[in-house]
Amino acid sequence: MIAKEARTEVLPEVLPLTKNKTWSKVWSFRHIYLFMLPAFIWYLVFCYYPMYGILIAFKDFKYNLGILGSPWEGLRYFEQFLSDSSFYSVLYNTLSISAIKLVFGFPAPLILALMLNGVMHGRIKRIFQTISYLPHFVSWVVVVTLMQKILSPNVGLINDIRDHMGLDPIFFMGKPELFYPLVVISDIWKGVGWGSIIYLAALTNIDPHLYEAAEMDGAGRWSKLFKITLPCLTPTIGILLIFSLSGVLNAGFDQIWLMQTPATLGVSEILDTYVLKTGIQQGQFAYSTAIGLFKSAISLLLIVLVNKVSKKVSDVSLW
Amino acid sequence: MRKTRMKRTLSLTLAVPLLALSLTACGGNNDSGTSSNSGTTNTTNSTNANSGNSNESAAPEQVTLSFLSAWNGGGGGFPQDQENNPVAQAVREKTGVTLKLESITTSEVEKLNTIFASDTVPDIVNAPYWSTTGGEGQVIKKAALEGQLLDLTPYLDKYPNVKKLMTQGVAKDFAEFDLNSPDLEGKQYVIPMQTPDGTPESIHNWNYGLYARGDILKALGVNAADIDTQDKLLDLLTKIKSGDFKDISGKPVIPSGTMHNGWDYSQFLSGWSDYNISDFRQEDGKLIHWTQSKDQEARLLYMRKLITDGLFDPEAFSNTDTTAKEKLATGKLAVFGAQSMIGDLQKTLYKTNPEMQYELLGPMKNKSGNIVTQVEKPGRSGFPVIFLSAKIKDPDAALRLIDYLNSDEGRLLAYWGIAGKTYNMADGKPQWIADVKKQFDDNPDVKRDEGLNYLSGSFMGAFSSEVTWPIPEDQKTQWEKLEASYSKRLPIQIIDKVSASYLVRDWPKYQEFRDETSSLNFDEEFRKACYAKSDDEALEILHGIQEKFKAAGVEEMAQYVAEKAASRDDIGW
Repeated sequence: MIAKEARTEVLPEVLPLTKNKTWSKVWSFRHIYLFMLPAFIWYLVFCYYPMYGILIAFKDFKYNLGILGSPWEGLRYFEQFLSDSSFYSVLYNTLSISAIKLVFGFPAPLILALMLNGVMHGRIKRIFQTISYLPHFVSWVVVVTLMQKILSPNVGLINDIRDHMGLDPIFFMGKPELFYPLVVISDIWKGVGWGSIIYLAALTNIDPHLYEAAEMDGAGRWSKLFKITLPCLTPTIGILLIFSLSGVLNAGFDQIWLMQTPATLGVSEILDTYVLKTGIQQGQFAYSTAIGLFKSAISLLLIVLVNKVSKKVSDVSLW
Repeated sequence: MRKTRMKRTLSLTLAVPLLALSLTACGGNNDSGTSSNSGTTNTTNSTNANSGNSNESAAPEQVTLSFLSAWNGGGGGFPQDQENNPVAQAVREKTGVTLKLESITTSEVEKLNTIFASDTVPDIVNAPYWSTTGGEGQVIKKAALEGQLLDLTPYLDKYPNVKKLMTQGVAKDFAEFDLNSPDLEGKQYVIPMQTPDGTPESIHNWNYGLYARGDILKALGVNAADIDTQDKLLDLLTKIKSGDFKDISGKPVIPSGTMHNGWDYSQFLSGWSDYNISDFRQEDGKLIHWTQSKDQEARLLYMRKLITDGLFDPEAFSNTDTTAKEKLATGKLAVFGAQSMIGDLQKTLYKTNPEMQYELLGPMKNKSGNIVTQVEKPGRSGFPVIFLSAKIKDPDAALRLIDYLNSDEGRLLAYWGIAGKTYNMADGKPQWIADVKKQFDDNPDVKRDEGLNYLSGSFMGAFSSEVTWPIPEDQKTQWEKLEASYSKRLPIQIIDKVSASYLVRDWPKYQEFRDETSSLNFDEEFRKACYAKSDDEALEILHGIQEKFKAAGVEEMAQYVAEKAASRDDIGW
């Protein structure tokens, strides 16, 4: 009630009656828009301006002619990719890694947030939160180097322990069957704390009266979780799921590129690493741009579809 | 109301710097021509340092040029003080040129593609140029044809030393088909570097081979020279594995391995090699492309055996330069395949554990029963090259520098430093000053920081310091003697023929073949097969990539080459 009164006090001041309401509204909130301006410029310069570069996908790119001056090639590179012998394996690997990450990695931050939310001791909760955030700030180069050191068959800690137990060393990073588990575990370790922030914020927004009422009705911990917490988090989960599904073709370039070894190439070659190899290593810029564009087009299609489905099923949507 | 005003003031205080910051970050630095030179930008900086000076007309114009060594780890020879080391100062006095050095620790071909695609070619670049049909050479040639490189042809008469580099020490067939290929239309874009002076003695011996830790061989009672076949090598590695040998920290050794990214695992398979100078092999009376050789199966199965039996470092193919050198420095590898690596070992393992000094195995015997060694043509085929950016503002300054460094005076400066300070002339030959030599021998980094490695390593061609200034036996360091002893056991094999690989250029389907095979990587598939779950699966991977080459027309290509070669008597496989 107090909040409502405060709002009615402010509104007449910031919304003077003028002919052009939109612009006057913008002017009234100019300070807020000023805050947005750097981000807007950032998107313009680093995301939208370079976007004309996708033209390379349809051109026979020549250094001296530049992107606009190079001759058109039509859909040649898209056809080349679709008929490439690596196409299916690369797509399969990308989708597999994304799917596994989604199944195991998506619920992890939610579970952590729920667990942290259950910790009553404020100091301990903050310590756990901080510890879980820290890996997010460590680059993949460092994470993978650490993994290589710890899991090395020659000097690694794990194999040293195995050696003391009389067991043969295992080349963990070189076992195709261990590649996906290692990818998922390291991905969760690195991102779970950071990913839980949004859920923790959403959890604080749940009206405590709901829990009090439920307790009075004799609800236990699990009942409260399934009857109050999760339903209240559904919009947040829905939005994050839409984002995750739209990025299903982004299996995580940095991580995969660094973890890739000749031994695991069969299961680790994904669209992004393939783009790098054909583009930067083999100099086939047009071909690799076509692959990148193919990936972006599929991602866009996915986000539209998933959003539509989500809107229909759960009333949660991005637009 | 006061609160609202305060909020607004606070918001503005925060937002304005943020906005300013983002605009600054986004803005281009348009006044870069006035001062700083970043490594990857075209920033030839020309300012006359002597303006107002009475010697103005005689002094060379002062110019700063960016230089990129596009070699993975190529910055190893760069002095700590790039601009004011004694050699750089002397070069500046003579030529007016100051170099801003940049190097890479990533893939050469990636760097080249990046600088060409982003139009950030440094003024001078030194890069690998093994062939114009693949790898770095192909990238450089494409860039030359598409206007990224400066055509040097109009300048050559003005710089006789540079002109000499274009031909001397270059293999005839490489000069004809690669360096001056018809599609370059008579233009010359690259300057060969590290080429021999035209004599066989000046061809550098890289001493590729297999090296085993001496103390381990001693403990096993094995004579290094006796290990010269694949079977004997396998037997030795098996003995090492069961011998419970340790590295310097008391941890088990790895029976065998390589340097970074599997360099050079082919040394473990050299029993299947031959004295080849082309992509073609004669098998069962028929000419075939190397990818189709029957030996590939045997090579693969042997490599797999080494890996599955725990005789070869499973991490060898994913070793970084750092991890590989760490293994080397700790004596972790009982046997390694590469060059002798004395430069690194003398600073590390040979200092801490001299008893572990590596010994050259064999030399191994190849499939013809000859020793496995370096095969060369009378001139060099494929070498590092220097090229200049098409946008270089002062090409004459760059060529003046290269011309000077390849003069007698410039070579003395680059290799020996300052007369009277680091060397003296005796009987027309430079001799190190004793104290200086001791410092250099004790710590090679002192020599590097004196500026005595980077110019000789990147700017010299048609020359051999070993031939011009042979070091008397009594003045050689123990490491130089050791390296020379390896070279003696691995004499270079010279084949004076034209490579059959060049005949394929006239094949009508050549371009089509190249397009179809451009994304195929035989070596990558071979490495993948080495780690397959079973031999059958490994062979399937191998046959898969062989089939792809076959489907691209490799058999028809070999047949065409065989027919062309039949009409000439100067073709070598």
